Amino acid sequence: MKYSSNKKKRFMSVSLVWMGLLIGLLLVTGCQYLESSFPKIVSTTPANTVENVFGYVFNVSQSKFNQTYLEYDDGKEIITLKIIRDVDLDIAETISSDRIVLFRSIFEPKRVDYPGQYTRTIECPEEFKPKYYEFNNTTVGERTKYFVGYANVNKVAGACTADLIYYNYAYGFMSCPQERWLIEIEYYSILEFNKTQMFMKSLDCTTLHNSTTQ
Amino acid sequence: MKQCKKQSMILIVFFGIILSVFLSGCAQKLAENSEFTENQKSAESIYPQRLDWFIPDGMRADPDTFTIYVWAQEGKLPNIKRMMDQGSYGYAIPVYPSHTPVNFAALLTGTYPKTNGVADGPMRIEGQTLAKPAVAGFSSSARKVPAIWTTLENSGKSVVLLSIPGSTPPELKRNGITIRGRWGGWGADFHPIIFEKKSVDQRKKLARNAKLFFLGLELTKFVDPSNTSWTITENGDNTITGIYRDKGITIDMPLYGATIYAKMIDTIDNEKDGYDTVLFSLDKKNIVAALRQGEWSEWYPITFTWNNKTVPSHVKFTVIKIDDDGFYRIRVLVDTLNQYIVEPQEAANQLEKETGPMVDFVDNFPPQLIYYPEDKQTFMQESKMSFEWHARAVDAIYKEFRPDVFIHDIYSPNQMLTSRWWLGYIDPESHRYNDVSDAEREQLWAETKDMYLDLDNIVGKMLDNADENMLIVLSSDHGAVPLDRSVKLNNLFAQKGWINYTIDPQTSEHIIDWTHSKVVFLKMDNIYINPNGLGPNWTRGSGPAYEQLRKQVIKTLEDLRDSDGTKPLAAAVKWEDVKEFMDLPPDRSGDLVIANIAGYGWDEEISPDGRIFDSPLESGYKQAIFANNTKGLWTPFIIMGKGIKKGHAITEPISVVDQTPTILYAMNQTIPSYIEGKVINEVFE
Repeated sequence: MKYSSNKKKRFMSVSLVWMGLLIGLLLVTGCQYLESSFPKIVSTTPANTVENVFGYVFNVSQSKFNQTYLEYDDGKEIITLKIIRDVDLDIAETISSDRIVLFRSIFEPKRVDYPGQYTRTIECPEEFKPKYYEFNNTTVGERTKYFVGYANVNKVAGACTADLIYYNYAYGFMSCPQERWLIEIEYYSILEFNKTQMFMKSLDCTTLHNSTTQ
Repeated sequence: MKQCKKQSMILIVFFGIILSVFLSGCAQKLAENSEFTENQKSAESIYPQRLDWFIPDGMRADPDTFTIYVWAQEGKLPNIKRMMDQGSYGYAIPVYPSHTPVNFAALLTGTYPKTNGVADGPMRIEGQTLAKPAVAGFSSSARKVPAIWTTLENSGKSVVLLSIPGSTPPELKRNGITIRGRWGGWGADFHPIIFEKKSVDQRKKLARNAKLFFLGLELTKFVDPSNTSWTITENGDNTITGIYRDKGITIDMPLYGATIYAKMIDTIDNEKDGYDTVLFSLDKKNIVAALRQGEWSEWYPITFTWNNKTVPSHVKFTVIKIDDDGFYRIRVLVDTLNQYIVEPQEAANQLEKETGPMVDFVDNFPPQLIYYPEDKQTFMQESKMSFEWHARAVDAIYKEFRPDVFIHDIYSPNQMLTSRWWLGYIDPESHRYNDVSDAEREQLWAETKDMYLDLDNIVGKMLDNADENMLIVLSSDHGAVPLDRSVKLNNLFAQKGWINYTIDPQTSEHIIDWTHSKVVFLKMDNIYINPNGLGPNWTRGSGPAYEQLRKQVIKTLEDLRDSDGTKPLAAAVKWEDVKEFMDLPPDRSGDLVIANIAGYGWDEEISPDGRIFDSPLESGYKQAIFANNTKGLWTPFIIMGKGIKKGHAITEPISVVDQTPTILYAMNQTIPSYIEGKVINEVFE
């Protein structure tokens, strides 16, 4: 009986181990299967909040590309900080340079969509073109480069007539070599509330890093 | 026995715990994914949670001539028939002016131009020069209210937009993909180019209506044969089969920072001395293609430069026409998909991996494939490629991105119906209708219906990828009607002394002196009037002199008659009345907005002959026509999905602005307060 009981115990232990392995395998493969069938670009995790980052309470969420989003919207100011992680300086430079070229393209002179003999090219007037700024934040290589201009009611850059302007808009990047982060910055504020430069200059990598990794 | 039971219980409990952990782990992963959670919700929902909205540009459907529902019933459009059987269908009427940017904005916002601000393609604004438009109607930045994708994205849905006018610069932020909004003024928007031999005769021939100097250099480049040394060798990769004569004619074709080289040769398979083959090379060492007239090459990788960025792309060539005397007309098709025209950029490669190089649409605007008989064949081949690409894209989008919402367009139907070759000869309303025999007309109809079959094939792909939670919608922005006569209003105004101009000795162009001109017509339907001059910047006139001049202009237009006595003017509406009578925004309208009757189209050109009425090469048009009573401008509207009546013919034509509210209602979404269209209640069960 004793022998039988030990045998049963051993059987139970082996069964449990095997079952554990099996379920572990299921956990890995089953969920991986589900995950692999998801859209590869678009989904993000639910948000939580971090307080008092540059004076704002941000919602924080994570994308599948190891990117963290910090978002703030109080109706007067709308801020999105996208943290792109694990990028060396050269990669950060490539990413930001690509994005800046795309941004600039909005304001380039171009052939109109329906050309005619007197309707040929279109170009954003100088007074509505964004201005470019660039500065080093600290001695450790942090660098912020950004445009300050206007966006329309749908938060799209390229508002090139007075009636289209709805927000002050800043778009740019801050590189954080020590953290190996690149921060993509979008800052909107209603026209009466122009603290764009103040906000852009308040950004720094260390504060952001400390706030989001706690 | 008791102990055995106990052990079994332990096992069951343990297994249960592990299973719970497993399920909760997976559930967490599932919850992380918006699409899956949407699908989960939708399984319990009586409303469709997903949307596939296909909006081919210029897909005409009317009860008299383009009777697509009859064609479908006859089995010629099987997938549209499936949609009719499973949904509700009818006609939709575009808003004025009945062209692409205005009607895409109206479709996608559910509002009229007076609210969304998109009154035209190029738009001028008071206080700025008339020489350059200030606002581009194809750009998302021109729109004053959000599009349906913003509403849906804000409700947590993932969205993919493909080739949608008004979608770039991208508005979708984190939960969407924007692929190539057409002419949105954003990104590396490459287009195909024709390379043609320079010749005085060709210039004269084309300059008349083709307005050579401002568009030819863009979409058609006139290039002389070069002296570039390129010797064909008979070894290595640089070989062609057969015997040939190389007379040393090389053509350098510069293209977005790269150069493609062509060489004309005479393969000696007849007694004639001339040229019959064009060799293509990307490096003057290796021949990648040897093509005769009408033949296409494969796609070849190439690297373009855009704003100092290296852009990997692809090219494909065809010889449209080659003559023994050394004339050549070569079209270089360019892959219109690249990482600088897609947001997020990563999606470009992901899509192209599945679809291959993109042929977004055939030809361009203004059309280039209308000048030689051989252009028609090139048009049809290229059109086919565009439909094939978009059909592949539907599968690829669902495979790669699996969005909740997919909104897509193809521009090729508009291109075909407004081109030179078809509509003028198949629509009985056209003056050119009897210029072809019945047999020729039958052939043209067969080609037109084949294009509709290509559209139907894309609908089939949508249906294949749909599930029970999908709302499927097929509609369009406008139809097209025959264009018999163009009206060069600026010739008329110049004759009246209202336009002052000089002639550029280099180009023979007429250069308007804006400061000393009082009245001008500018695209698509605006007349700007100021007795004190229209420049340097335009200001809105007022006072007795202004009113007097405006009255004179209206009378001049009212009195204008074609040679057969036809009056082309349908309406001339003062800017202060356009909101009430045309649903247009006054601040984006000229001093008069003018509509024409079907068969006519306004034209900006000041021509040396001073003729006001002319017969254009293009045979289709849609711009400044009131669509309510012009059925050729109507489009289909078919909607199917959960909660939608099956096999229901909608009793009256709807407006394009009714589509967004109807779709949002069908999906149980809140309809934003700015929407002006109405929900079409009769389509719901």
